[in-house]
Amino acid sequence: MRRKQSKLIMGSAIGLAAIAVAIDHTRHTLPEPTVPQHVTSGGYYEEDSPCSLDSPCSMDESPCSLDETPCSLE
Amino acid sequence: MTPAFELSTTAAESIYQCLLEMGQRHTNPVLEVLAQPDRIEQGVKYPPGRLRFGDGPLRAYYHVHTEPYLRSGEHGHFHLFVATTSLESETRWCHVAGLSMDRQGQPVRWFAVNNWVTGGTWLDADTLWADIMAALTVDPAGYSLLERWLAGMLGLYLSELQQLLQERDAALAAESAGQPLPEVLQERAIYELSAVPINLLDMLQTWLVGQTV
Repeated sequence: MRRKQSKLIMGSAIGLAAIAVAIDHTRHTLPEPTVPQHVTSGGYYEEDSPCSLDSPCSMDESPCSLDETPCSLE
Repeated sequence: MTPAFELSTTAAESIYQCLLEMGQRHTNPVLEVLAQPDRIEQGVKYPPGRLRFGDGPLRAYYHVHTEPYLRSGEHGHFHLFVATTSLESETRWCHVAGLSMDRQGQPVRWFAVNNWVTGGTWLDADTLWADIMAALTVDPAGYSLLERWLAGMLGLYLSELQQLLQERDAALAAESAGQPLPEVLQERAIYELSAVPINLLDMLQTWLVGQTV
């Protein structure tokens, strides 16, 4: 029911083909990720550092920070 | 119309406009976040300083994992966080979801992870969803193109995110087996808790055209 209402509001403005083309125009092959030089040379690395608190996705700027607030150190 | 319906409708229009702008710039959400379009390093969070959404209640970054956290079919993923004031007067950041991107820079799925993965404050699904809803009512005028796209993705997938977070909580409860929640949230054996696939064409078609492929 809700989505039929959406059709009534927007249906005449944007067509399926236009959406498909818009998406296709953003398809670009991304660069292959590289291993940072400081890792291959034996230096610090975010995901295997003993200081990382084992949080691979943490927003903390410092891997050793005790502060949960991600932007508080800036 | 419900607030969620209005947000999703607005988000669909915003996403479409973002796609047009990215197309004109020969870019996509991942290339937008890279300082050099031909270079990305594993384990580094992009951009430096994070996406700050005009210093509003959202934060995000993109990164690429190494083993053992690599996922097949994924180039990398965004992590999105929302500010909450539901627990204390001080603002705390809560992980909303990860957004996996394929090697063509297209979104492929949402996922939710255990608290130890991202750190931050843990909220139950309903409280977190309310914070997401509140964050999406902020005027995006100061947002960058990528920030508008990410906020748009949250708005477009509100219903699916609610499902993702509820399934996250259910999976966590099932895994806990009577263990106290704080211990389960730090249990390294529990990583991903729920996921929702993304088909952006279908979704935009549903909200903007109202037909099915």
